[in-house]
Amino acid sequence: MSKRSSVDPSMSGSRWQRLSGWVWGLLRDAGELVLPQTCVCRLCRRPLPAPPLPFACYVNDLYACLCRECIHSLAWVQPPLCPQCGRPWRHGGLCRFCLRRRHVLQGCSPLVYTGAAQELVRELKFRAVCELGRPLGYIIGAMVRSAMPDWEPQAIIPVPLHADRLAARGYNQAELLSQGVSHFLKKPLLHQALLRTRHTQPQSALSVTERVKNVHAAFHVPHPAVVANKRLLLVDDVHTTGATVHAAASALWHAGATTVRFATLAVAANTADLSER
Amino acid sequence: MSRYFLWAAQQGIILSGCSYLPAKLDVERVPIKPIFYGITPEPAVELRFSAGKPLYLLSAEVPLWLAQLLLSMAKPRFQQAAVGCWQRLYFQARVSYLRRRMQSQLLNWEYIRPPAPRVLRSADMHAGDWECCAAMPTPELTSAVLEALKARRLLESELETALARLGAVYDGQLRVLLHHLVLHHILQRESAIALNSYGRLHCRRCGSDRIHWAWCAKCGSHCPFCGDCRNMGVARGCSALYSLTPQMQAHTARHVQAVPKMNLPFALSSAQAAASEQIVSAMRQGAKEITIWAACGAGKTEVVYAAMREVVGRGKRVLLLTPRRDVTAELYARLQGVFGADYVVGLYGAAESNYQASPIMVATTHQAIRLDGAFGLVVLDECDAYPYRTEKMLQNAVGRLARQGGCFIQMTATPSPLLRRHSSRLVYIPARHHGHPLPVPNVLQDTGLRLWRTPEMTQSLPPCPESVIEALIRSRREKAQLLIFVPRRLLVAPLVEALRQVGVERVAGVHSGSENRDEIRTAFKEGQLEAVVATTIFERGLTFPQVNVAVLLAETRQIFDNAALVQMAGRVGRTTTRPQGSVWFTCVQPSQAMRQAIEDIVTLNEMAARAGLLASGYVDVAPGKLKPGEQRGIGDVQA
Ligand SMILES: [Zn+2]
Ligand SMILES: [Zn+2]
Ligand SMILES: [Zn+2]
Ligand SMILES: [Zn+2]
Repeated sequence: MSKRSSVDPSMSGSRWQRLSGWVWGLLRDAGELVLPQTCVCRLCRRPLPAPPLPFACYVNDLYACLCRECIHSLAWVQPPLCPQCGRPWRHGGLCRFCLRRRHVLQGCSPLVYTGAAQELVRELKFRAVCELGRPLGYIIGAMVRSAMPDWEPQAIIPVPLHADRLAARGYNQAELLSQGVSHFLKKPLLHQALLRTRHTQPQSALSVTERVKNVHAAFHVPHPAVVANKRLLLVDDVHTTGATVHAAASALWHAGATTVRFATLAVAANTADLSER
Repeated sequence: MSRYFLWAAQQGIILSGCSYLPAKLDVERVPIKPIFYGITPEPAVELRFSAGKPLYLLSAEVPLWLAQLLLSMAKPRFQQAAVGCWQRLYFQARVSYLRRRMQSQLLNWEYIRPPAPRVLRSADMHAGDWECCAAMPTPELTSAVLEALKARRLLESELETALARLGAVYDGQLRVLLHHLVLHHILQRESAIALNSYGRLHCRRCGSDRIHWAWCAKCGSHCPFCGDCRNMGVARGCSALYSLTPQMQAHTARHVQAVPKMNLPFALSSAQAAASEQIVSAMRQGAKEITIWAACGAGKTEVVYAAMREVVGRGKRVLLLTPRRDVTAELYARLQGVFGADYVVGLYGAAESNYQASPIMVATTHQAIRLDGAFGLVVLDECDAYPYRTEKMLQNAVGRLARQGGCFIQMTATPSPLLRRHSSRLVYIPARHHGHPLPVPNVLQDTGLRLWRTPEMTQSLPPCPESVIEALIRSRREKAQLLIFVPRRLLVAPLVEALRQVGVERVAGVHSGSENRDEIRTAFKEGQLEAVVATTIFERGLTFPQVNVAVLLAETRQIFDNAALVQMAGRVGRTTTRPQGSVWFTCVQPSQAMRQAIEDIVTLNEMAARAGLLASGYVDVAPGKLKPGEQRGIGDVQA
C-alpha cells in the first residue's frame, strides 16, 4: 500500500519528521498565546498591520478583516436618498421602485452595491467568510439606529434560504449578518421564525416583474404566535428591487406582525444617482 | 468513547454506520483478523461488496472529520510504534481539548455514545431501507469520473460540477456511486479536514492549519472548515476529497504517442541556449530542484522548452504555474504556438471550465490545489510574485505537487536569500537578447516626499515632488514616456492631480480597481500618454517600448521589496528599438531593499560582461575572473 493512501500522511514520515512536526505544533500552541497572528485583508490580500492584542480579540471590528484602503474605497450611501427604502435617488421623493408598490416597506442600507462592496458581498455569500458577518452586522445595526431613531425592533429575522440551497451552501449569509445586527442592537434573533418553502431561481438573472413573480408566496411563518404583535427587522445582504424583502414582509404581516422594516448591507443604485458626489 | 473504539479494535471490527472509510488500514500490521475495518458512509454498499459476510454496525452517523478522528484514536492499537510516549500524551491532550470544544458547541453529543452493536447481514438488504444500494455506477459514469479526476483531486461539490459539464447522467446519490468506485480501488477518498499526528486539525487540500468553526447546514452540526482555501470552494469537515488511486493515475498518464514538434518563433540567444542545455543535462542527471535566475526581459520561459519536450517524450505530464492570471493567459497562447494546441491546456479563470488532462498544463498557482498526480516536471514562473510570495496556502499546494516526484524548476528575476542558499542548482541568464546591460537605478533623495506618505490626511493637495519633476524633465529630454509607480492605491489620484497642476496634460492613473485599465495600457503603449501613475499592477509581464521608470517612495516596506523594485526597474529597455533607459528610485531615506535591488542588477550585469554576453561596446570586465561562489553560472559553461 502506498504512502498516500494510509490514514494519515503525517504519521508515515521518518522519525525526525514526526518529531519536528510535533515540536512545531507545540510551539504554535505556545505562540498563539503570546504572539499576535498575522492576518491579510480579505479584499486585496495584503497583510494587515498587527493590532496591540491578538486578532481574535477584534471579532466586531471591520479593521481586523479589511485594510484601511479597502475600507476607504467602500461606497457609503449619501443623501439624497429615497425616504422609504434608503436608496440613493437624485430626484427627491420616492424612488421608482417604491412608487410602484401598494405597500411601502421602510428600510436602510449603509453601502452602495458597487466595486468593493460588491466584492464584499461575494466574499460573504460564496466564500464562507463568516468572520465578516459580525463587523458588517455592526455597521448595519449602526445604520438602523441612525436612519430610524424613533423606531426600535423587538426581534431580528434573517431572510431565509431554501433548505436545499442552505444544505448546498452550508450557511445563510443573511443569518451571519443578522447575528451582528442582533448583537449590536441587543435584540433577539429569530432563526426559524420565517422559512422559504418554495424553490426560487436566483434573482440576479431576472427582470423586475419576473422577480416579483419568482418570490411570490415563497415564504411561510410556521408559528405565527412567535411574530404576532411584534416590531420586526428583516436582514438581508443586497437590496435590488426589493421583491424578496417584500415577499418576506408580507408573510410576516399575514402572521400578525405590527411593523416590519428591513436593513440590508448594500443597495443597488444607478450610477447617475451617485455621480453628484 | 475511545475505550469503546479500542474494544472494537481488539475485536477486529471497527465499523460502520459512520460516515467515512478513509482507506483500508494496513492488513499485515493488524494482529487480529478483521472482517472490515474503517468507517463507511454506505453500509449497504459495503455489505454487498463483502460477499455475504456480516457487517458490524457500531454507531450512528458522525461527521466525516470526527469519523477520521475516531479512526486515528483507534489507530495506535494497530500501529503500536507509530508515536512516542510524549507525543502520545500531547496528542491525547489536544484531542480532549477538541472534544471539550465540541461538547460546548454541539448539543446532541449523545449520538457518539455507543449504541448496542448491530450486525448487518445480506438478508437485511431487502428490508427496504437500503434502497440506495440498488444503484450501481454505469460504465459511462465511471469513465466520466475517470476523465474528470485525471491529474486532479476534487471536493465532492467540485466533482459534481465537473461531471455535469461532462454530461454524465446518473440516478441515485452520487456519494453512493462514488463509494462503489472507492471499494473497487478506482477512487480514493479522504476527509478534507483531518487531524494530524500531533493532534491538530488541518486542511488536507491546502495544508493550512487555520481552521475555523461554524455551524454547518450541510451536516447540521458545528463543523470545522479551512479558512485559507475557501476562495476555491469551501473544504469542510464533512466534505470528502476524491482522487484517483496512484495505480489508476499512472494508468491514465500513459497517453503520449509521439514527441511533440517544437517550432520556436525565433532562435534562442546565446545566454538562453547555454542555460537550456544546462537544465536538460541536470535533469538527465536526476536533479530534483533547479532555480533559474534570469535578468528581467531575458526570456526565461523559452529556456525550459527543451526540458518540457523531453519530459513529454517520456510519457509524463508537465505543469507550468504562474501566480498571475494575465501572465498565465499569455504563456498559454505562447505554448500553443510552440507545441501545438493538442498538447497544451490552460487552466485559469474562465478557461478553467474546459478541463482536459493534456501533456502540458498551464495554470495559475491557485489551480495547483485542485491538481494531483505525479507530474514529470513542475515549472514555477515568477516565483517571487504576489500573491504566491505571501500566501502560505499556494506555497503548500505547489510544494505538494513538486514533492510528488519529478523535477521542480523555479524561475525568477529576484531569488529570495533562502532560495539562493538552498537551491542545489542555480542557473543564470544574465543578459537580455539584445545584449545591452540592465539599466541601473539612480537614487533621488527628496525630503518633500514626506508629505506624500499620507496625502489623504492633509487638508490640501501636497505639491508635486521635486524628484518626480526632475525625472519628467529628463524623460522629456530623452523623448521617453514616464511610468511612475506609487506604493498605495490612494496616492494615484492625488499624484495625477499634482502632475496636471505642474503642466503635464497627457497623464492618467491606474490601479487594480480602475475600469479603464486596458485602455490606459494600450494608450500608453501607443505613446498617446506622456506619463502614467500606477500601483504595482503594472510591475510584471508588460512591455512598453519607450519608457522610463520612477518609483515614488521606494523605501515603503512590505510593498516595494527587493523583488518588486527589480521588476519595476526591469520595465525599462526591453526592446531592440530602445535597449536603454533610465530608472529613478525616489525616497526620503534609502532602504536596505533598494540597496539590495541595485546590487542584484549590478551583479547580473557584471556576470553578463564576464561571460561575454553583452554587445561589443560593453565588454569592459576581463573574462575568466570568477569568484568562488559563482562557479555554477554561465561563465564556466562558456569557458
Ligand atoms: Zn485591502
Ligand atoms: Zn425607494
Ligand atoms: Zn484548505
Ligand atoms: Zn459540515
